[in-house]
Amino acid sequence: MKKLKFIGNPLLQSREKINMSSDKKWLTLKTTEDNEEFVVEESVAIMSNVIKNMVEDGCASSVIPVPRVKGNAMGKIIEFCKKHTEESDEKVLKEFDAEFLNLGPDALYDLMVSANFLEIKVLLDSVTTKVADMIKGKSSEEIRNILKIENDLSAEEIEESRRENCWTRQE
Amino acid sequence: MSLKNIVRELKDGIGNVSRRRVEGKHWRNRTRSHIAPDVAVSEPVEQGKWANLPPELLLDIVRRVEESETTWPARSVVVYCGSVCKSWRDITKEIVKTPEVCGRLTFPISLKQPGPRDSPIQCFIRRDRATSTYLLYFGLTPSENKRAKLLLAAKKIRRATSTDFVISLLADDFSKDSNAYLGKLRSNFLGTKFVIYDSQPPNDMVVQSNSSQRFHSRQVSPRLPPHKYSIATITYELNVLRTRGPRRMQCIMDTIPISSVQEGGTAPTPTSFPNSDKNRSFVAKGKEPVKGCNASVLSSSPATTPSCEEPMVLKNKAPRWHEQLQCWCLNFKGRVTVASVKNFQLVAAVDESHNVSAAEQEKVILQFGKIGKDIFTMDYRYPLSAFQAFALCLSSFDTKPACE
Repeated sequence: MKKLKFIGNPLLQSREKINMSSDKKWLTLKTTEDNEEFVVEESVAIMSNVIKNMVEDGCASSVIPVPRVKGNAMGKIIEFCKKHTEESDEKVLKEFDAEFLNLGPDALYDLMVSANFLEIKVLLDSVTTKVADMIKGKSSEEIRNILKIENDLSAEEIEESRRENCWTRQE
Repeated sequence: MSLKNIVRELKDGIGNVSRRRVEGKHWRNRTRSHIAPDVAVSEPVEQGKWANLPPELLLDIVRRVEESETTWPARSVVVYCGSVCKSWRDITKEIVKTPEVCGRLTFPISLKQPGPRDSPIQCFIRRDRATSTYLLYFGLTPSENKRAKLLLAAKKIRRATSTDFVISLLADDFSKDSNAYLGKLRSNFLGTKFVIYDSQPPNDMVVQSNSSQRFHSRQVSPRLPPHKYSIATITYELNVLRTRGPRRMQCIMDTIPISSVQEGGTAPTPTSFPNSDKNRSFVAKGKEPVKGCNASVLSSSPATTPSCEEPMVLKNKAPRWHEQLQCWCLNFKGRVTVASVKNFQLVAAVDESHNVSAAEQEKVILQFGKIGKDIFTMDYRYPLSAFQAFALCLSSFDTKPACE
């Protein structure tokens, strides 16, 4: 049973009605990992440089398969792109982004690698800035805990970093 | 990834989905780590996705951190990023530039690297007479509101016929066996001649099989302790006017060639401390490797003495006599406010044959002077490092009657 997600006018019930609305072009994006489909305005979808190139080169067929991106990440990406296409007020966008990126490291990771793969610069910049902000003011141990990273430094590197940390911490 | 590849993948993608799903969640980790750093599969450490980020993403994140946290203490996070795990350490070290390039101090090794060429790095020194210690801080002057970053510490140890200033990364550790130990300044009895010793060998000695060299020098001069390399000599001379005139200072910087201040020249820039043999690798940034003219070490092993490039010599800028104020004056540009015989400015001592531009000759490479009781400012620039600058300034503290 295919899940069909409509991002757009919630009143529209079927694909036929969408196709009949002639002033806007629509694309269907399908995440191949989990078979979720998203119907999106072309103007929103082309915030992704990858999709934009496909559309311009005439490679975009009725359904565009998107690998590597999970369904829930795709949903969030479309939400972001839609907002950034519709809204021009910097202040409003900034507030939206802050709220939008209020996510845990796992969700941020998915969003980041997806935005990177789809080449959506605005989103990628926002996410990497958010991650950088999460790191600021933290110690190595805290960073490892937040991002679930194991310390795989060699014995030599550990000794070096110990000296660096002692020197860094002293006042 | 080229567009063609993407299109091909997208077209093939649908057919492959069912296959991928059957393989389960594991494939995701495998394909996601296709750009992961070289971690052996047999390694016991299981790394999460954040350690195996595509390098361009990790670079983006750490770069944002580094570019935003430019001042201390916030800058400490850059050092902490370098201690998270191997991939993060490699990326962080790649991102952080030398003080010469970016004007900032980050890792401790930046204290051994030359300062910027144009604006000096501004520091201050606090003297504690009670403990005979000297603390070098990064910052214009001490501030009550903000805690300055402590860079280096020195402790004065008086001996029978000489005085040592032991220089360390940590204010509570002056042991020569500690890895915080950087070197020392030794003065003669009269306080007229000083030698700066570095615990880290200069460039050329590393290239020429360090261990054999040390063995050789031990044979010839058994009293020479390991990890002690003479890198500069400072001499103070009385002015002809004796106590009524400023003293003359001359610094022979054995590890900095005169070519460093010539057109297109560079100064030695170590990239790491010598922890072990593996780490004894320096970036020989000059066009030719620096031949350290370490007289006290190499003279005892003639077979390995390389041809020396002429070392840079620094001399103090002669103050002008101010008739109205009836005193000797130097333009410290507001960075020195109390008259003291310790105050000085060092410039490169060159003549026409050295082919050094007028602009370079004018540059004050090191400036040191008093701003208050036990507080001094120290501004240094290329080709000196913070360590060398600090040692040069410490010599000014060891004032003796013969010199004043």
